[in-house]
Amino acid sequence: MQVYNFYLFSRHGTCLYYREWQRTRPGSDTQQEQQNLIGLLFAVKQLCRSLAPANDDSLPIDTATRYMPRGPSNFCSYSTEKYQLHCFESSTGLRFVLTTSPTASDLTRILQRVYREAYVECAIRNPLYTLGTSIVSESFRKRLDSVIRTLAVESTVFR
Amino acid sequence: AKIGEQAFQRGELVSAELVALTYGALVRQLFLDYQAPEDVNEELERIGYNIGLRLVDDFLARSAAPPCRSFQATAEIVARVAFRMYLGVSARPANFAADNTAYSILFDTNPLAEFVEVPDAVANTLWYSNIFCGVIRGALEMVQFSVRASFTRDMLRGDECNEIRVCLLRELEETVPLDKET
Repeated sequence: MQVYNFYLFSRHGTCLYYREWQRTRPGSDTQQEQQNLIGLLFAVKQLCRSLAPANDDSLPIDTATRYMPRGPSNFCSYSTEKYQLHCFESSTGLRFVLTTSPTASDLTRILQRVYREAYVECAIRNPLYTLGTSIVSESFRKRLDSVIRTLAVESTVFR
Repeated sequence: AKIGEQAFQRGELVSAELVALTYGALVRQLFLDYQAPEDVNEELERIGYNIGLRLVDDFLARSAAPPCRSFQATAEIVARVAFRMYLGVSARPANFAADNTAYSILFDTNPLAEFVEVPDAVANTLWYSNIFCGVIRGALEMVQFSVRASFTRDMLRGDECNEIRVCLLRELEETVPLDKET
């Protein structure tokens, strides 16, 4: 499995972090691309919610019919012939997005590890970091890389 | 409660006495700066709020608590998981309002107030541990619930338990990412 790009979006839809490992076709306009991506994820979330059946067991009975489900969407990936896009949304609205070559496995766990081991450790616990600004920390990059590297190792083992 | 217990075990532990003494020093300093106990309450709440904004991500990532789909669900998580995880004390949700827009969190031991005696002059105006209220407000705001949290009972005032009342003001809607060009 090959790993292409990583995006991290804040709850307000700004891109906090972008990293590419392998990108054979350079994007023409990175900023536009990021905006389109977050727009897509947002729209998919809305659609998933409105299509979901109302009798969701996870909801208390009286709120189930009143509201659309709150919290993060359960949308986790889509795939095309050439690549697959994985998404993990935290309850606080952060979106971790990873593109890889098409793979059958679910990478939510990996993205949760990025959340736990990179974002929380290097952004949340860093007093110099202001919430909602883009991350420039070098240690964030290192931790992100090390999490992704375990993914690469795992996938060669299981192949 | 089990999730909280596990996360509590996993996390790095700091001596409760150290925290209690540091917090005491903080409150004392705020008193010197602000004089009026009401202002100290407010300032503690504000500090807590800023902590809460960050702490919630740490909490969600490390506890792996299930997402809260409704406001009532947050009561259970805050009281049973978060209090357990960060303070090592057990708290319980109680006194739900009929329309589910408010609940209380009750707890019997407060690690912050371990060695505290509040002077009589301010005993009825100061909420010594008001920082908790701020943390709860900040944390819930990040998961789209705008709340007001306040102490209603405090063992430092001779009540039989500590009670924090959490009232839902409104549920926030997710903001649509704006197109910067338009």
